[in-house]
Amino acid sequence: MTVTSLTDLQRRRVDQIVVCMARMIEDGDFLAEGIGTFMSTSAYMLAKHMHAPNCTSLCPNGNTLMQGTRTLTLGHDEFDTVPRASMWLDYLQINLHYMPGIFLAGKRWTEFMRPAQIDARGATNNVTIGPHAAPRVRLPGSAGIPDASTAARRFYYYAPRHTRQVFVDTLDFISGAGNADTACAPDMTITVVSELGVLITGASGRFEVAQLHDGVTREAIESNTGFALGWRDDVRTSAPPSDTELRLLNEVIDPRGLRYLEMLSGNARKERLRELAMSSAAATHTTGRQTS
Amino acid sequence: MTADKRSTLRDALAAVHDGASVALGGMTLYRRPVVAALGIAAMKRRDLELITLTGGIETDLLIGAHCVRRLRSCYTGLEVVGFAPHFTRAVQNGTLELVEETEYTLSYALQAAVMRVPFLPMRGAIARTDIPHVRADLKRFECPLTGEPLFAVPALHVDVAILHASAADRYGNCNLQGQLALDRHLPSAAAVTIVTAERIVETDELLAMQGGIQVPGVFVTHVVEIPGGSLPTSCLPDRKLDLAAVLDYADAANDTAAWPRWLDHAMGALA
Repeated sequence: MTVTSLTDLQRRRVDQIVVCMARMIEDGDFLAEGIGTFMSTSAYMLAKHMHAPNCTSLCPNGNTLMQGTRTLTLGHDEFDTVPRASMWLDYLQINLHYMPGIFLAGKRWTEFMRPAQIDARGATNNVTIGPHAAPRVRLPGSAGIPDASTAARRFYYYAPRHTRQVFVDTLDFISGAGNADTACAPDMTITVVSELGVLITGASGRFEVAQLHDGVTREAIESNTGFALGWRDDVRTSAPPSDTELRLLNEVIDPRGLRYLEMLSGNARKERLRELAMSSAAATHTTGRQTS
Repeated sequence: MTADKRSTLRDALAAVHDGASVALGGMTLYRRPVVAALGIAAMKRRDLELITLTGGIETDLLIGAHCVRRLRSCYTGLEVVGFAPHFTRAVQNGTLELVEETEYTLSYALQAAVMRVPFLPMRGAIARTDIPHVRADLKRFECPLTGEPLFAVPALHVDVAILHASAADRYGNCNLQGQLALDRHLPSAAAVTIVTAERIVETDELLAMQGGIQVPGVFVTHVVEIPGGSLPTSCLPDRKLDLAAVLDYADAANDTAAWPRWLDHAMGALA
């Protein structure tokens, strides 16, 4: 099993999501990386290379604030980030001293999170499938999503799989806040970049299709969504990744193709991880893989 | 406070009683006290409450060894490797009580414990999620100053904190590298703190390391030198995450025949 076992279409869809996320980032944003979320981290690095060089990254693997760019690693970010961080923090400092001020004082904290389920009003679930007291599937947990989603005015998600299992009518548990079901102005603007397009909540607080990726039909996105979608008047077709964007992703940011792991599941994912773990054990540790 | 705090792992872990609340340092797959967790499993401690911002292999193996009654965490998993097998099954089977934390609830609870106050107030907006529905201990109240709705997050109770340090001196002063997680604050909340350290060094050497002394020895009860005590999780600067070993762990923990062999082998490797 190799990364080439993904179809070209799946790889193109991963890269389409990555470039869509990167293009939404503004220069100067505070970019919060997840852990193991290779697609969003690829997007942050791409934005820094392309048009947003002055963003600060919070790298949670090490809790460092970082300028500049890095090459993605498989769980070894601490070794790249801590020795050359602009600040090195712990989780009380992040949660008590930094997050409240950044969100509630209206600074641009930009983070793309991956939900297990998302509904029409942008609320999400990363806790349980089935009732919380007796779940059919216990998910790892929501980490800081409940905190961030109840403080932010703009919130972002990405969904490598756009299916009715992910885009649902009713959540089993709300761990990420969405817009309330009222006539009042919506609490926040929520964006989700999926393998089929880009949905953004509108004046009603519900998702509307803002972009369709190249080759995706209205019927395809509607039939893979478990709730009724609104449509913007000016639905755009996403610009595919440019040659420059692809070269940066493939040669500089993520030459090992870690971002494609997010499209794999089950045994295929495990096999690919084994392969990657073996190749990194064989390689001598290269220091200072700074890419900027 | 210059008492020599060096100890054996067995003597140090005597502080972990059945039913104790035990906070584990590090984060998911980074600088976790894995050997100390195996020591607790070998001593067959029962009914523990584990506290960890994010649980990883150390938490999952303790669940798999039947040591844990309740877990407080906001994420438990093996990151890129996927679900934590014992955690996932135990919650689904109803044999593990999970306190559904968020990054804020656990941070506020720890800060309250450090400050020795009964609670800290959290903004009421968390009620836009289902978290308060499954956390009856978060009490809603009106701010006496502004009238806005707030939640009281009760102080954490920690009997024993266990950290793995990059280095420590004999007095319990610690240098921590890499992911700091909540480690600098757990010792000042806990009744007993056990540190396993890659190396025990002279104080001058600690002071020369990046970050210097990150935990003062005054809060530390026992120091045990255990090179590789975090493996397969990382410990900057000497130990990288051993991803293949985490994959092996996940395979064993998903297989009822292989699991006791994995656990016996890992516990058997304890000195």
